[in-house]
Amino acid sequence: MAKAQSASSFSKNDIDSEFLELGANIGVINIEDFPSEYALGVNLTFRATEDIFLQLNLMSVSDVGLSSAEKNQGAFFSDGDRDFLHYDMLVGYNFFQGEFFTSSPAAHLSTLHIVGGIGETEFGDESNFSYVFGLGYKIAFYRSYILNFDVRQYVYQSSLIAEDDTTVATHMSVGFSYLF
Amino acid sequence: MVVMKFFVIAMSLVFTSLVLAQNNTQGKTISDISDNDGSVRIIDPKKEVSVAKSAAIDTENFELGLFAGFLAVEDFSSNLVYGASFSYHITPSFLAQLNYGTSDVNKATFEDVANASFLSDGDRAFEYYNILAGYRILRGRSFFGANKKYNSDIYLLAGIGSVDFAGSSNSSFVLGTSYRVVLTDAIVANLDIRGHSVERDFLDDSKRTFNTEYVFGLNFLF
Repeated sequence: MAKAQSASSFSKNDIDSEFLELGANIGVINIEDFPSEYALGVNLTFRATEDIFLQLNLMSVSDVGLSSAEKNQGAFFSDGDRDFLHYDMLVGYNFFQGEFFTSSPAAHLSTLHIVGGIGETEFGDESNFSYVFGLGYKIAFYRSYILNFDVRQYVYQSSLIAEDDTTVATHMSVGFSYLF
Repeated sequence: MVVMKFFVIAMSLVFTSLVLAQNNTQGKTISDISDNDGSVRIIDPKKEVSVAKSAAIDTENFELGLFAGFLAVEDFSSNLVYGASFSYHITPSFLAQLNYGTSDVNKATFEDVANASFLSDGDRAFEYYNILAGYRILRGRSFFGANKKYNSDIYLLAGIGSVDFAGSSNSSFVLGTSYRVVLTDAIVANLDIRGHSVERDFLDDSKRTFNTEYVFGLNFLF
């Protein structure tokens, strides 16, 4: 009888139906030929299936410092041009689905994922089409609160120092996101 | 009176037939009841218990591994890095790890433009040694597809080391995470993200640099 009552009170709301994730992260970016800097970012993730997700990212670095070469020979550019801005759209694949255990008996879901996509990088009064590759892992400490570790590489053609030079910026970050 | 006797006899017959019927059905299935020979067929279920074998770091305390990946050097570029590691599992939650890695750093773009090399060939190798302590923050298992499941752990890494680059050798701080998957009883795969913070004096500019590395490795347990 009790079972029948609980079954009858089951509603659609009890089914996990979250598919959007809003997140923020902090990290370090190594811009080729320039110093490493702290970077802040936000992202929106759409969980298309259990294995595949789409993600929009925006990250920014204000006032990238002078490289050793610039300190020695003079700044290549200055002021607002030294702000680094990158945004992209990525497709992610959950390579390893997993679960992790802390001291509590509950299992925390996790994934190891790879991502790839395209975006735009603005730096030094240039705006360059960028390819993005990366990997990362997510751990859901609570159902809706997720810890993220990520490494991304932004590959683009830059003419800041030499004409059409293939440039790689490596971005490492840790972030939190909320699933809703 | 005759009616009374007839009633008592009839009731006795009904009761006797009920008792006999009860005795006939005890311990038998419906199909058995219909069997005329009265034999009992016992169904013996299959008792095959599937044994799940879990690979784990149990009796093995040491790991010897090789790794390769990418290292982004501040003010320079991102290049291939490779190296070797030796780990000792002090307890299930703690490990100590020695790492050696090397990366040939390409010319920076300003060197290409100037058509000059600001570093000698020998100074272009970013070579590091470090000793790290690892703490397992999470233990769990990872699923690869529908049928494969592996024990996996996430470690936080921190330690000190030395970096040889650009003509000088300086001490470094290392911070990172390691995602480790126990593939078999003897092999562990790891995916590490590490940051090397090191002082560097280059072109009369002395500063602390941060160099990002991510590597994939395979380790042999013994």
